Amino acid sequence: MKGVLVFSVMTLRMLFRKRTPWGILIGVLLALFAIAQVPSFSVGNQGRFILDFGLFGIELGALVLALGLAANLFPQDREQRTVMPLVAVPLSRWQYLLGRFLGAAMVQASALLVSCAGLVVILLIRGIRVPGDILPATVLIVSEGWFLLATVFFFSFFTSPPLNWPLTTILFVLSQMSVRDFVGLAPSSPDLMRGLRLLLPHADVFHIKDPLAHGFDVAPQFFALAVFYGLCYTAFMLSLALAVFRGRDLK
Amino acid sequence: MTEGPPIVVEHLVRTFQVKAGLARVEAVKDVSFNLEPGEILGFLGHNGAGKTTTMKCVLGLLHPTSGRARVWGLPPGSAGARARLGYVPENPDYDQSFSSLELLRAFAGMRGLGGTEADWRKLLERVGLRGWETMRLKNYSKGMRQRLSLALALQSKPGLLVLDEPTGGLDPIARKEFRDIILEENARGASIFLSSHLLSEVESVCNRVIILNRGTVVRTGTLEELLGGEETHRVSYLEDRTAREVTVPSDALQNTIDMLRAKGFPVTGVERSWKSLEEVFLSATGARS
Amino acid sequence: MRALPLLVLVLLCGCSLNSDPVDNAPHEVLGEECDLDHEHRQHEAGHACSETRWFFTQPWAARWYWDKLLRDGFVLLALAAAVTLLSRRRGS
Repeated sequence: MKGVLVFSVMTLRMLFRKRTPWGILIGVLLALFAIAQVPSFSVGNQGRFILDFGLFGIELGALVLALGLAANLFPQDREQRTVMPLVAVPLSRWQYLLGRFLGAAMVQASALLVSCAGLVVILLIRGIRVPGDILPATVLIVSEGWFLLATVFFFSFFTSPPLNWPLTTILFVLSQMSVRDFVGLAPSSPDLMRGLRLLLPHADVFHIKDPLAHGFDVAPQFFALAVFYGLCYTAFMLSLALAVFRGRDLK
Repeated sequence: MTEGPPIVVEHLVRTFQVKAGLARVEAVKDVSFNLEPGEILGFLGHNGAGKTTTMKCVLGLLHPTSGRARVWGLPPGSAGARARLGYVPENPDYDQSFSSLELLRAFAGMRGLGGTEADWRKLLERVGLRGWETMRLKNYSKGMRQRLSLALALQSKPGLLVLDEPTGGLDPIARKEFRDIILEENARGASIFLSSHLLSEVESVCNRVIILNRGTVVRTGTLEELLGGEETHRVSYLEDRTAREVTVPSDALQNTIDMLRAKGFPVTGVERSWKSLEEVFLSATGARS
Repeated sequence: MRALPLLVLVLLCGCSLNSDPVDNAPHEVLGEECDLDHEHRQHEAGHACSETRWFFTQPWAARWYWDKLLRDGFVLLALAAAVTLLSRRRGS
């Protein structure tokens, strides 16, 4: 496990030295700032609007960060042949995958927490009450972000980055849909659509922006269990990614 | 647990699918060999002969289509096999944003080695990277990356070194330094599996040589067996007052002399010679009959 | 080994069964009644009963949802362990 930690720190340092995470973070913060500029009729409405769209912006940031950080990681390692000396000697394939994932996950979580801080600052400047659950809400988005990151890793072992972006985005969009909405995409074959939907995760458990914006209380069990669910789905996606990676030849 | 030889390859076959088609190409066909403890085994072959494919199967980077490879009696890529292995890949590359010292530190951490920074500086000095320890890799030349790759391979004092064209980007002086390090490591007790295009390099360091042609082992043996077994004669003669030479196998010597005399070319000398590794290689791979 | 993808699909389907809260909601909270929750908070008109905002106002759903998340999580963990172990056998 020490090897994984050392490699994850190496990955973290490598990613922080790139422009990608910084660029995406600045993009998310600018989007939050833009959301705060939209005029509204009352302070109550504006607070609800900023919270709702702000958390949605951070969630989109999680998707873009997952893709920006990880879609090119393995393809680049393979193309530049940096993966070979790593996998041939110091690391096994699972250590490589987990190290790369943990490094990228830490960068993603840091950027999302900074975005959350940005949202809090915007709310304070606007004189809007900051709900106590905004941090747990961000932790849920981090959990969703890690699931997306694992999905990006899974696709990256058998597709190119230009294909990884649409595949992950489609999975992200579809997994937000309720069964009813998903079946509505092709109402003529409801059984098939219902079956297909069962294979997708239920990303709606990561969303508490609505209840938060409307001032509802969210039970602590919900946070704990939703994060648990997110981590379990992440582990499952990583195991699929590992199965693909283990079967791959490094030519 | 009984420990096997550093490398055992048994009936290794590896095929590749031709892009967008059903046809398959056999890159390695039924290759078998052992690397014995303390040996320096040279792996020779032209481009596409299957050298790197075989090495990658030994390292667990490629899965064999059939047959098997074992490293110290263990499956390639297993923790036990990797623990006592050093590898210098062909055209090595590492993340450009790191310095060689950072990489050595990280690799040591990943392998659970207990060296200090002073050890890693000494190692970098040994491979000729003194003064470049903290410089980022993006400023390194190809030869310097190869030196760093050697340092990473030597870091754990491995019992087995797998070197795939290790001196490809090096100048003659650096090649000599590389050769010296290989011999020092062998004297320390390391077994070495060396693939190279440079026949002189293989000739000067290897105990035994395997020649691969189109995925098949066409010749194998110690240097003495390969070179000594190929006794030849150099025949000097005059053709229209111009001095010429021809090298022929011993059994063809008398026929050659008779033929030259019949043509009216006076034979001026006959000298016994041994084939160079280059000649053995060219003859084995069919490049020269 | 060839059965692995099938096994994964079957278990994944099993893990996600009854995934929509609406499918499990008591009849009386569906339809028009879902516009008003037990705490007498008003939902926006035309808001779908299956969305999270609605879900958080339904006390009946909490227990069902905790059980579902816990069960799905453990099934996913078991699947992850099975896939990892089986792929190791194939890789060696």
